[in-house]
Amino acid sequence: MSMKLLTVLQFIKIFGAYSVMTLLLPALLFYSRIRNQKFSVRFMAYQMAGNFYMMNLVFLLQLLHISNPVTLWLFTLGPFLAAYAVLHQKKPLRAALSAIETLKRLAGGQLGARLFLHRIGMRMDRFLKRGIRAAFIRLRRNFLDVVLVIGLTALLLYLYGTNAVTNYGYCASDIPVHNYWINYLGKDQLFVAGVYPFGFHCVVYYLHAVFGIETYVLLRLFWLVQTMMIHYILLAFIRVCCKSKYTAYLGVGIYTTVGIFSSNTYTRFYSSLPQEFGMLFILPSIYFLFAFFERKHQELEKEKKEKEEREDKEENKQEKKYANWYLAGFVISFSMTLAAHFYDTMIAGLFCIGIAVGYFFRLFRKQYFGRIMLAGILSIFIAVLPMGIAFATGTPLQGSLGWGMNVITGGGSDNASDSEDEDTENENQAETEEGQGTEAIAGNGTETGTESVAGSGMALGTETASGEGKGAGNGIQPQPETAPGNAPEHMAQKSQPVGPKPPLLDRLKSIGERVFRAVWDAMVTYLIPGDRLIYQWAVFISIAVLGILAILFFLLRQTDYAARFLSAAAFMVFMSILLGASRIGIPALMDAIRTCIFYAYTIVIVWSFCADGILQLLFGWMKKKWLMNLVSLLLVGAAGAYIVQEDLMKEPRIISALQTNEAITCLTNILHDNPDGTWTICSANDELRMVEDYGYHYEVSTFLGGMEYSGGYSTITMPTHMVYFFIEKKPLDYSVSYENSGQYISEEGAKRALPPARGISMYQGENRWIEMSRMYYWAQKFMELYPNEMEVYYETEDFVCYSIEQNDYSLYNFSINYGYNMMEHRQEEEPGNDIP
Amino acid sequence: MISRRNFLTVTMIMLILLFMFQVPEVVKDRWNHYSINTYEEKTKTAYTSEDVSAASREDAKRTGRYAVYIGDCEDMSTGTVVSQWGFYTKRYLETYRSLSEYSLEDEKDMPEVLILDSAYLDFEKDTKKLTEFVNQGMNLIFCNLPDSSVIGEQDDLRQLLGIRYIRTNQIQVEGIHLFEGLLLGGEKYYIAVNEEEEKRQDLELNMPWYHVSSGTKTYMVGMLDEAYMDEQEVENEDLPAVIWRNSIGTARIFAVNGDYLADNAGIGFLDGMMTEMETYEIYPVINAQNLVMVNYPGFTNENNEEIMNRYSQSLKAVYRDIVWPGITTVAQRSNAKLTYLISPQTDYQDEIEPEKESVIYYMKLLQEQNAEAGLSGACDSGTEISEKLRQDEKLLSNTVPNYPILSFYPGRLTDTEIAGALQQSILGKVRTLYRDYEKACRLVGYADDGVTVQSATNDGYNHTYSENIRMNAIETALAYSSILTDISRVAYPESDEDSWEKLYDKFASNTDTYWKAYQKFEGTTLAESDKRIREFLALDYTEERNGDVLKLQLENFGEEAWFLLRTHGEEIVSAEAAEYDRIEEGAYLVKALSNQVELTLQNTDKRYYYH
Repeated sequence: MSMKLLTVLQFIKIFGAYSVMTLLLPALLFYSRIRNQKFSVRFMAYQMAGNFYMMNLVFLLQLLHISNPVTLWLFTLGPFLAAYAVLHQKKPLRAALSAIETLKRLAGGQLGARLFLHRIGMRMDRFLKRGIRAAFIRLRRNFLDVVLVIGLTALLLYLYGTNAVTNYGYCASDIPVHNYWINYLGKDQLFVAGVYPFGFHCVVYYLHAVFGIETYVLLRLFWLVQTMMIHYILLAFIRVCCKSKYTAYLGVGIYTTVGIFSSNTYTRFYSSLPQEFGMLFILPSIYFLFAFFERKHQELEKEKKEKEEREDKEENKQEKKYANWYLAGFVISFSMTLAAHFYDTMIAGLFCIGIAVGYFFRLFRKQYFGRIMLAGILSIFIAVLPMGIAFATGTPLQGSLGWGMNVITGGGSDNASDSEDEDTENENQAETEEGQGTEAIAGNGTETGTESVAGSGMALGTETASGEGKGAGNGIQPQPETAPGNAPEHMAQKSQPVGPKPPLLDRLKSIGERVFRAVWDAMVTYLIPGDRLIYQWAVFISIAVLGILAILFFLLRQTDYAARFLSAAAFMVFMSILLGASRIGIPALMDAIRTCIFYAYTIVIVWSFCADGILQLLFGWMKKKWLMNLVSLLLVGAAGAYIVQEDLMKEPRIISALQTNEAITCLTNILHDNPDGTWTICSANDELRMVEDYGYHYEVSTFLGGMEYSGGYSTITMPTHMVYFFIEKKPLDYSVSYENSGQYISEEGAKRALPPARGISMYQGENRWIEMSRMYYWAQKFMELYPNEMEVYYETEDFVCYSIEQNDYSLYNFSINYGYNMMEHRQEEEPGNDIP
Repeated sequence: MISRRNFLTVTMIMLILLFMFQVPEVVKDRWNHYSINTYEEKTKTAYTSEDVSAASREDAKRTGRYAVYIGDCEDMSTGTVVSQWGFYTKRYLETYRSLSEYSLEDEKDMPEVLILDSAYLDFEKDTKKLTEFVNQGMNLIFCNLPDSSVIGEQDDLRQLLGIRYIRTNQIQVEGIHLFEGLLLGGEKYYIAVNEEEEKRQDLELNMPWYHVSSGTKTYMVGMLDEAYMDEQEVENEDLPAVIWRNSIGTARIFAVNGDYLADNAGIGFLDGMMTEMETYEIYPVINAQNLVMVNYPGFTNENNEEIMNRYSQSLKAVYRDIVWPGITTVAQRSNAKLTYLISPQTDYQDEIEPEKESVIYYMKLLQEQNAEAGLSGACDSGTEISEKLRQDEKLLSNTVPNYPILSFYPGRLTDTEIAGALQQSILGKVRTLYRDYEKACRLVGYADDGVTVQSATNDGYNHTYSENIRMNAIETALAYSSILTDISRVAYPESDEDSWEKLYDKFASNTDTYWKAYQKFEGTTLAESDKRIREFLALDYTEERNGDVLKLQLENFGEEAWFLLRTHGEEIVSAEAAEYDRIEEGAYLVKALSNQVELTLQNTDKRYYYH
């Protein structure tokens, strides 16, 4: 089978499994309760419910140390059936008794098998007909929506999916660490490397354990599912916030297809990473807060009116609860941002501050403030609880969490920009003795502040608070980053000798200018690079226009609509400041290179809101909405035509993977060909964590180091029936390129001294070429000694995998003298006869 | 009262039943040509000892099958075994009494392998020469090793043999572990875990403990007590090596730490080693599995008192009702063909004569079983062989006058007596002599121009560990086995161990168990086996491989010829003018149907997923 086809099938399986958990099961439970909500709201609610359940179920079972596929199945189906029975007022006992009675009758002959099957057939027929009819009605009612969503899906699959079927390996260097943490969830070890937001890991583990999808396959492909969901969530959010029907497609369409944004804003989407997973929950949390304010206001108004009319108290109570459900939605989605990644919480938090600005007129009223504060605390509590329990029971904080705590407590924020992922990646370097060999260094990214996403040979903005932007890839010219201690020219006046104090207005103007220039600078570096002045200005103008529209709608007494606009505008102002923070000279809570991801994701909301606001101004007064909807649809069409005409369409990006396709192909075959636990792969890196649940791994570096200067006098054995050696004939650039990148292995490389076995650097740049050259010549020599035993398992021009079948009772000693490990110019000579 | 109609129906049914039961018996009896030896025509062949193919130096140049042996070819030990191996594999074997006599003038004349008997080597001088040979790419087989002190003293010898160091000069191992791959039959543990198995343990358990170095592959090791291994921190890889292979460049050096090549088992080990040296190995085999019952009595009630005491039945009844059903059951279970080398009487001095009815009865049974009847030369010591044969002839001419004796078991007769016996008219048509197993004697060959010798390979009642190794080795080398079961032990028991129930237990369990792996080899009678041996000995062949296609050109091809193909991962995907059967992984039995055979080999281990 072709790996491409396999990848497609694996993707379908993952998409299906995730959809079952985050759409189908929640929909079966809650549809009847929330059927009056818009589809977009229901979609977000299902997503949140499904993810929240998976995440917290895993947390709970892990903390109880009873997490395994059986318990996960049990605690999924059990509560689901119970909840279904309660919510749908089913009588499970009665149904069971009735089924038993039917079976008894069937067994006793009172009920004929044909009649029984006929009845079942009839029921199924009725059910199918009803389902098809309902689907057809919905399709007819929302035909354009369906077409547009299918179009969006096709675009997403084309733009992102192309990479999935082109490069099979992990595209980010810290994924092996996440792989490692997830693997240990399977061994009932939560927070194996310290306390860290594990929401993403829990969901991946859940899908692995419950649906039997290998973790490495999930990490290879889950990114495509989550990226699609991120776009759907964006669509759903804009859709429910806007008044016109199709404006949402305008924003999402621009975000998806238009190539004005820097590649930094979406390159991470090509990897299964917690931060991007956490993006799923930002907008739902914001929507639920919007909805709470709106609904609560309606309820209060109604309550007031009803009080006047002396209506029944019970009904009032019910209405109150309904608003609180939105708040509950906010709680679970906000908690999940924190459970997934701190940066998502920061962005959601900033949006919440924006909401505080937008809804300033309601927030501080007693009916809102207390509840919202409580919800905020509760959401943090829910997210922090598992981490807190683990911490209280002695699990230390993982490096990046330590950094997060430091930021919260106000210390060390200057170094914020690079610390978080670096800590994660540094995990890769931790060497652990395991199995027969060596734990390897399974990831990379050891260079301080080097972004971990591999992309077409670019160095993605090395960034620290004291200086960032060494390169941003894809033609982005790196800009010098400012920092408190290293201010650029336009900020140099700060350190000038103090003269007479300028007037306040001048000072404010000066600060304003400085802030604007810093934000502009950051924006043209990270967000919209190049000479796209129109789009660059469009960012600021749209935020300003949104603010103005908000005021207009306040004046037009469309208060909630206006408040949303104002919230979004305020949020974007905060985002702008965050984007340029290091250039402005204030502590940067997040790298600009990270901020721009969220910035691009949210600026299209502003653009959609602006378009919707204008349409609302023009056509909102009309009773019939069809004209407004038609114009919004035309706007989408016009934007599409413009994009095509101006050739702004993005091309699918191919991200260099940190593993060769051949390695993944071999790994897949090895898993297919051998029973678990009977094989070892000796390779350079990522396979270590990929194979952890199924076989063993031996590090190339340990392997070569073990026979250096000793040849056949040392002993290297691998106690499995099959041993595979992955050798890159054309070593890939593992995040780091060098002068002769892309060269093939050679004798010249084999003659070079082995790089020191320290960190991932031994597999990067030229070091990888040396190690692979050595491995190749080792394999040649070993094959000369064992021509019938060692065979080529898989070979292409750039890669070769050798396999050797061992006698389990008499293992081969892989340590041999292959020439290059015993070269005369080395410090040590071959040890003498070691007869005791 | 029964109606006429019902009466008629019942009668008809009864008649039909009577017809159904009686007719087959009548037909079977009528068509049973028990007085004709059907194998006489079926196994007729013109091959005689003159047709035996013996490879010459010129042949070796053509076929590439050329080996050099340093030792004595007629020492009735290793040398004889090596000589036999060369003979069976159609190799030209050059023998020298010392290494100094042999020199390699031209690398083109390099033999496939240089086989060494350490007793004929002067290691102080010869190690250097051997190292030079190895550096030129010559393969070596050390059929045995010098004393460990000699190995301990010489670094270059240790390096040559792939010995890292000598742990102790002498260790007693618990058993022997033979890994799969070298011999057919798979992995074997020769370790006695109970009293019964203690009786089977006859292998040499004392040996020097050599630790082999990297670049070696071990095929057989001594097994140590687990507690001892834990205590001494001995890994499996460190167990005392018995047979291993060292590699230096492209040369392979095999070493045998023991006397496993000193008897006929050696031919199998040598074939196994040749297989391990090459990417594949194909060699002719006999493909015959014989189950031979010698000295089958039962025509007379001899030793009646003893038999009555033991079985409360006469000897004839014991053989007819107890022994015969047991033997046929085992033969059916193991897909074997039976050969009965009958002994009409044991005591020719008494006045009890064999009953003609019994002879006819058994000959009919033999015919039904597709078994062959031959004659045994065993009789009591007071009777001359000529007298015995005369009386036997008289009996047979009165009962089955047209049944020619094709197989003869001389028992303890001397060579002169055998020669005399073969002159007797009753043995005038004998084609094969069936002999007891003798260490290092030729397993198959010619006794004279027209009569072959077939040696038993195993005893039906005993199966020691060394016999098991021998059986697997001979199956590997020749696809041949012959189980000799002396059935007269029942008639003349010497102890309780000779009671049939005990003998049967051993016979049945041995035959059922140890030959199971070889059921794809064909069961034959001695006459059939004789034909195959004649064709095997006459056969010569050349082989040529082009890519995936392996071509065999056969000379002196009779009607059929069998080869054993051993590969490393490759499988036969198609065959022209041949049939093949997979014996085990990497081992195929190929039946040539013409003198030109083409086999297509491929490594079918394809990857399921591809990029």
